[in-house]
Amino acid sequence: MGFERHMLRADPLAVRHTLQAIEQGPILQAMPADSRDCTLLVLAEVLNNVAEHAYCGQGGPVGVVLRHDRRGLCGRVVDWGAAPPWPDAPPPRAAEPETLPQGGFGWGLIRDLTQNLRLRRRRGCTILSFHMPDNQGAAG
Amino acid sequence: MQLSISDHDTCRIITADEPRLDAAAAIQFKESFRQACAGETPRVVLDLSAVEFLDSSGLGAVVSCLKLLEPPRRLELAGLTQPVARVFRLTRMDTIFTIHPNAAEALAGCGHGV
Repeated sequence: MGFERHMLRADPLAVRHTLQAIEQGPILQAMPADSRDCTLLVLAEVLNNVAEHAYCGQGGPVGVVLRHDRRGLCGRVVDWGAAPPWPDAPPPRAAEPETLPQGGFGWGLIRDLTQNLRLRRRRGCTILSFHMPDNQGAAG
Repeated sequence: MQLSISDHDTCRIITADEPRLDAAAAIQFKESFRQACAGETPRVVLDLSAVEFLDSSGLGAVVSCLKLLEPPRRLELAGLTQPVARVFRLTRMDTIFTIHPNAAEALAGCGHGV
């Protein structure tokens, strides 16, 4: 059980520092190593998407809420940047590996590692929420 | 991202010396690799055993390193830690690289021990 809230500026260095703080926080420290690694990866992808797309690399506020309850870890990320071009569902996967894509991996990773992934727009902010399954080692 | 280089006849090992290959490190990593890979050894092995965190930007940077080498030179990987191996596996990019358990085994593959 637990609750954590982080506010940061959406840029790559601030994302790194926040992930390091979250990694050392009580919620992630109580998780098995595999689940912790997967949670940090999902948060990295979500936060970097916000920095790159919602704020177009210009920086802007983003909030992270983590809550651990009987069902496992629930994460929520809120930003006040541009609305995503896909309001109802995340975009498709990256190109096939054989084409040597250098990007577009993020959403595939997020979808592979989470459950109940939900993206919605409300009163000028974008809210992404997800659950991390407890048996992450087997899945990932 | 600090990289170290060691040459073994036909093989250059480029070792990533920092624990995070993330969005904040990706651009500088690519530039460091571009300098580190200059030369003519046919094999270039990127040793990632010190990297504990890799995100999709870091993965994209590693793929760009692969594209940077002109045939017949090729990029191989060694020493993927568990979180790094997971990213390669989930994105199926593990299918396009030769991946060695560690740098010593990568060298053993071309007839050199360490």
